[in-house]
Amino acid sequence: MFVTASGSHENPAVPDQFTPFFLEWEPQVRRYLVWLEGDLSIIDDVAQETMISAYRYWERLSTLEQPRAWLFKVAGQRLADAQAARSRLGVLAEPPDVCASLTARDETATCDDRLHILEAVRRLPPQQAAAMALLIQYDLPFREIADVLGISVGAVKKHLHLARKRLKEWLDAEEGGFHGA
Amino acid sequence: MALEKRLREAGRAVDGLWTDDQATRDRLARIRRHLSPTASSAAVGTAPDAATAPDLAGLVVQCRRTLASSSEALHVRSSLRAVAGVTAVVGLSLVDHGPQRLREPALRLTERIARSAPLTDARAVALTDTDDLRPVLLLLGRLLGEAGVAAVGVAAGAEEEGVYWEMIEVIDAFDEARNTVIEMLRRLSESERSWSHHHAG
Repeated sequence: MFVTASGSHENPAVPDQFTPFFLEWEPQVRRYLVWLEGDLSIIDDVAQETMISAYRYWERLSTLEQPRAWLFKVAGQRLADAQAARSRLGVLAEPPDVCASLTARDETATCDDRLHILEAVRRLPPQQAAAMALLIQYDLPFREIADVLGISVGAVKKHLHLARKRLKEWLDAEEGGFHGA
Repeated sequence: MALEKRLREAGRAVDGLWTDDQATRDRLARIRRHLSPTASSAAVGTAPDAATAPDLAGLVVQCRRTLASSSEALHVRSSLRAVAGVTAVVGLSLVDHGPQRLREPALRLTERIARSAPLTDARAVALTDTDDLRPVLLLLGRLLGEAGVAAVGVAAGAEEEGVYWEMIEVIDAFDEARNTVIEMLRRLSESERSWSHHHAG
């Protein structure tokens, strides 16, 4: 018989309060990740790992009035790990197209041209993209964005300024090229 | 259109994603299975019955977590054996219950892994939904890649020659197994494409 070191699970069952928490926050974590990553299999993976971490830290997490900063921080760290692993190991197969897969999995999903701006945000440096996602998607105050990213409020403002500047340059250049063609 | 407005509209579009409550409940159910102590039953070689059989993706995810949390060489080697075990379980499940075009590479996968690690009592898990095969194979491919990197680390620090050669064999086996997984993913994509063409026609 071969041996596996099974993960230790202090609680034999998922606590009842975790269910509503999961239903509310797991989709929010995914919506945050979709600003940062286009590969749906990585989003699936990272969202799952984040929620498993939430379960493991449930005793502490359940006491927080606003757990979103913790969740987004963990999701960001897990995403960085997954992206580093992808760079190291390469892509196994063509990643599933986010828009197509989302529409197929979620009948209520709207997947139109507006999502194309996400591709531009994903091309930003990670902290700029994350700051932009947290501001646009969740209207998080600068202080909370700073907590998620582990940086100062001043740095958040700087990231957002640079992000807007770059996005504007890229989009202007694309549209200029398009109109000129 | 102004940048701010476009960003806000993208935000509203993202708000429309993952709104299916039942799909979220299904994902929670999957996590509950991962967190259940019975989830590792197939990985340790016991025969999972219909009531307790974990899903293959859950096994692979749990194995990845175990490997990622292993730091000492002895622990990593134990995790690598678990990786071999889970790979064999996936292979056997596909041989027994998978689609026809995956059975031959699945058999090769199982045989290759069995040559590198002492597998006993690995059993197939009944597959209920062939749609789940692609994520399982993607996860398994990643796991095998990560396991190969971990084996290189153990080999590099090995003081005993026996351990070094054991890890070299494991590296080769996982590398070949990963190639077979990629081949299975390709076959799966081809069959999906031909299915779409057939139905579009």
